[in-house]
Amino acid sequence: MIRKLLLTFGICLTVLLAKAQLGYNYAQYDLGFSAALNYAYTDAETVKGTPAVHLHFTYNQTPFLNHIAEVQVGRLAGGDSLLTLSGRQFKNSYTAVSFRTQIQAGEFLDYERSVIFNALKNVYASGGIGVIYNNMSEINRQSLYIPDFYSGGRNNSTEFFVPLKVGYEFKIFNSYDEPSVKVDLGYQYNLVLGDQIDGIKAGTRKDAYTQFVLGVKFAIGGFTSYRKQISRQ
Amino acid sequence: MKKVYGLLFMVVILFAAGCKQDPPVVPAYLQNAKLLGKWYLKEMLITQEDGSTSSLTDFTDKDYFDFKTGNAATYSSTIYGSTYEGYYSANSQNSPNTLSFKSGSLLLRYDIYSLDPLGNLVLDETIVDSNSGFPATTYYRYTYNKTL
Repeated sequence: MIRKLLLTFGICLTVLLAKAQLGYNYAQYDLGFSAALNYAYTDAETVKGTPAVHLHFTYNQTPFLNHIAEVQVGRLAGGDSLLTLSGRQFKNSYTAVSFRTQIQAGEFLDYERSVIFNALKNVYASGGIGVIYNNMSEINRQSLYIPDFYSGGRNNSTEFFVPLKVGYEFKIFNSYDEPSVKVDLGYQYNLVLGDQIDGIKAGTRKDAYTQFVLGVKFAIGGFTSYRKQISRQ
Repeated sequence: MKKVYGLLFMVVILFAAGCKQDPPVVPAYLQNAKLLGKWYLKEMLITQEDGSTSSLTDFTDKDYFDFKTGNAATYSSTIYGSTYEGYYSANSQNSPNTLSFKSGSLLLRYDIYSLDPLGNLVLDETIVDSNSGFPATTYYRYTYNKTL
């Protein structure tokens, strides 16, 4: 009789514990892609919006602490050979590889008892290091207006950059209350540790480019539990 | 708490970095502060290939170069019968130093023979005329002064 009672109690306890884990689980690995709108701030006098696509693999140390390896393929462009004094104009068909660590507010917010904190838990900031491979598909170095004004530089170059990003990650939960799909909306500032993303070396400031990013990530495996519930009941 | 500070630090860096650009500065070797101001044409000395010379001095207040900051310049000439707004460059990397002025399709190139901000600006121009079948070279020397 006692054995039957103990067995029944044990089964009930297991079911209870299993129920308690619902909402705590997450995948450690995500795979995703993004579309970005780039703006390059360089030695060229005007700024143009250009597209890029990103492919990324994410290791989720926790649901709110993420390590991201990313490949970017896209274009950067700027300047105007006809309408600007310097005549600088470029199109850079670039490839970049970067590694970022991203921390979301949920890592340190107690969002379980606050609607506002629950909404803010997906706000994130991230930083890292990357390498950009610049390839000028078009470039104009000669001023149309100032005689002898020539802007020198390299058509192909490799430079390190520091990606800094802020954004919001919408988590979409599956029927097991696990974040299986994430939609990422972010703004990324890439401080290039060089002066060649426009193919022109001039001035005193280094080049930079910014990106408005819209992406999606899919959980691909490595399920584990977090210390608190990821979704909010 | 360290994570909070880390997050704040990254946000501050992000916005402090801003999106600034370098202004389009004309390289120093294309600028010459001694040129700045209005220079009136006083004399044009013409030397033909055979060594014969002639001189013109009857110029007016409509014959001048006006060099401004930012490499902007105005060129006025009664010979051309017009005034041109454009840009100049004084290239100190060339030997002798050169002075160029461009306004639309008009491009003037001179060698700077001498430049004294309190005295004369003397410019040399060489024109090769090939229209007659035999290249004929004519040398022009222009003397400008800041006094009218």
